[in-house]
Amino acid sequence: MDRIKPLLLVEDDYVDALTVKRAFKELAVINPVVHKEDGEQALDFLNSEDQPAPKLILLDLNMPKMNGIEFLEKLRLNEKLKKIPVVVLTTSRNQEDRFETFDLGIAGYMVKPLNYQDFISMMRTINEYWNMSEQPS
Amino acid sequence: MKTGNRIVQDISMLYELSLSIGTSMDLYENCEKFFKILISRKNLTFASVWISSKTIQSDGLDTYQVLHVSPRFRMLDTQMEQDHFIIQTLKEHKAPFSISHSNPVFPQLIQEHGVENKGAFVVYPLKQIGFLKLYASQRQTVFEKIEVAQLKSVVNKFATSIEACISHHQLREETQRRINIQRRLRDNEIKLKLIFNTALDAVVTINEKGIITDWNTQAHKVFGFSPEDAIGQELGSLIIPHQHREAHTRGMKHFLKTGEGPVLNKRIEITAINRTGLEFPIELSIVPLQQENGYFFSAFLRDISKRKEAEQKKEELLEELEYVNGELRDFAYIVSHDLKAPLRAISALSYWIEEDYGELIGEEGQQQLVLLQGRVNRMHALIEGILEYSRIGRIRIKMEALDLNQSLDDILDSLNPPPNFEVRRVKTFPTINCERVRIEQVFQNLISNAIKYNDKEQGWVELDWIELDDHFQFSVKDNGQGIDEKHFEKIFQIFQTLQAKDKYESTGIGLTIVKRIIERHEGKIWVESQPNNGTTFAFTIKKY
Repeated sequence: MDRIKPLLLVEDDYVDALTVKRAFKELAVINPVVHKEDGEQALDFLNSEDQPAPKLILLDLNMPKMNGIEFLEKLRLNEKLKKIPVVVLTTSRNQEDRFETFDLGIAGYMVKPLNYQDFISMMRTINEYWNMSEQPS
Repeated sequence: MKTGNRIVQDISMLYELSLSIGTSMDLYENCEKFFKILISRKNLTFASVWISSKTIQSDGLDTYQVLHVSPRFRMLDTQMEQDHFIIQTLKEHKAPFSISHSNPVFPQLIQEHGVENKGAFVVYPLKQIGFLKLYASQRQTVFEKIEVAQLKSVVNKFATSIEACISHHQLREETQRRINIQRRLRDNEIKLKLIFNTALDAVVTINEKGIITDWNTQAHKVFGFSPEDAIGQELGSLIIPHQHREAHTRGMKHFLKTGEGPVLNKRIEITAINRTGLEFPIELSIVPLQQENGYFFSAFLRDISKRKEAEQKKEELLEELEYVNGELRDFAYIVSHDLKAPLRAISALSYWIEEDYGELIGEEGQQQLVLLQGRVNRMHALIEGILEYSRIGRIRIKMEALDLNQSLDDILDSLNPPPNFEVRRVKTFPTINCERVRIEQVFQNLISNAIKYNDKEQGWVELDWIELDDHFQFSVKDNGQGIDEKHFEKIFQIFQTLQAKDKYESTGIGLTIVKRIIERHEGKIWVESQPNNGTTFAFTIKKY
């Protein structure tokens, strides 16, 4: 992944966030991981001028204050931010959630696995994919 | 002198005969008295009266039958056809005639027992109704003309009296018939009245003017008006609520004018008012009856307040049930969803403890962490099971054609049975319309169970199917450890397993899901098995 740009993790569960961070560390991903606990905090972060736009957003759906879908709707309305790829990382296998988020232009939909090892291999795949994929900017 | 004597004798005989006629209106008595004198005075062997069937019945055949015989029990034949010699002769001559044994036609006249070729017959017509036939066995010749003529007028009188007797008899029968009809009518009326008053419905009849003419016991109960109160009143103002009165009057007028009535002869629901002015729902059917003096309308009414109330209640309950069901479904979904997050955390944390501090906690501690991980996995499987189960009820998948041959190949690929295990199909499988993924799930589950629980050196599963009228029936048969009959019900219940959960990792949801899927395909599932003798799961799926 782009060495300068951070990865934005929007996740309210502390252990889930820890898992992602630990996995990235284990996979030797050096992009800084910025962790925000809900959609509101994440939008605030994205809108602050002094920050570079993240390379990728990992988004949980079920969160307090502003959930993942509301966050996506806001993101897509923002000219500056709407091109940032978003991968949904959720517990929900719900079909409606899948339809709705893909309608909102997400780049991927991952269901959080139960075991840490499975989690690692999922993160590895995400990392490899986004290292190879060309970005709009 | 001899002649003189004979004249006296003849006159006295005629007088006696004439007196014997008409003393009774009874046919038998009348004939018997007349014959008694005739037989003795004329020294007859036999006398009989024959009557045309037409006399007795207006639509009778043109035959003759014996009405009376004296002495009795001497007839060979009691019927005489139209073409008989006697009838033909009477028709031709319309006068009495006598035939003796020397006449060749004599045998034709014999209808009596014991008449041999001797004596003579004499036959008198009895007006239009029949004839009188006499026989004397001692006579060598025919009855002389003068002798025949002598009796003619008295026989005529006899004929008249027979006619009278017959009419009298018929009149009495007719009277009796009428009495019987009247009695039956009265019985029917009583029966009708009884039905009318014991009917479970209120039965009310009105005439063309809308005036009540009948009002049964149940009507009294339903509306509170007694028959005395109601009969003679106008129906509209008595029990029809204000808002329906005009329609009632209009409907009656319309029917009397056109013969059309959209509310007639069918069941309608409407309201009525009772004596206290309370309006309540009724079920009503009206039947028009045309009688000589105009139309009558019979109305059958039933108070349906209770039913309406029950219907209302049922609707409310259904709504509530629907709501509670929805809540439950959402509950199952949300709860299991939210349970997964902490479970994942436990899983990750325990893994990290082992990874980061494995050295510190020693072998025993590591063992415990492995056990912890196992329980976490099981709980995860349970939650997934509940989610899956609730999803089957919640979400309908569209019906699609499924080639079972292809799909069984795929399932076996994914199950990857051990090398000593054989999965065989008895014959080629059909393509069926169903919720594809779910039916695949059924086969997948049953086959994987058969593999998982098999305890034989050489295990096998045999798949077969037959086609029924409305269903396909499939069977999955194995040579495994078998199931005791007392567990047949239990295995389909949620969270029920027959083995310790540690022995085989099992949630006890699989067969519950299978059963639910099959029930959603309007089928049934059942099991046939004996311990140690293998198990057969059979199930049906409706043809769509």
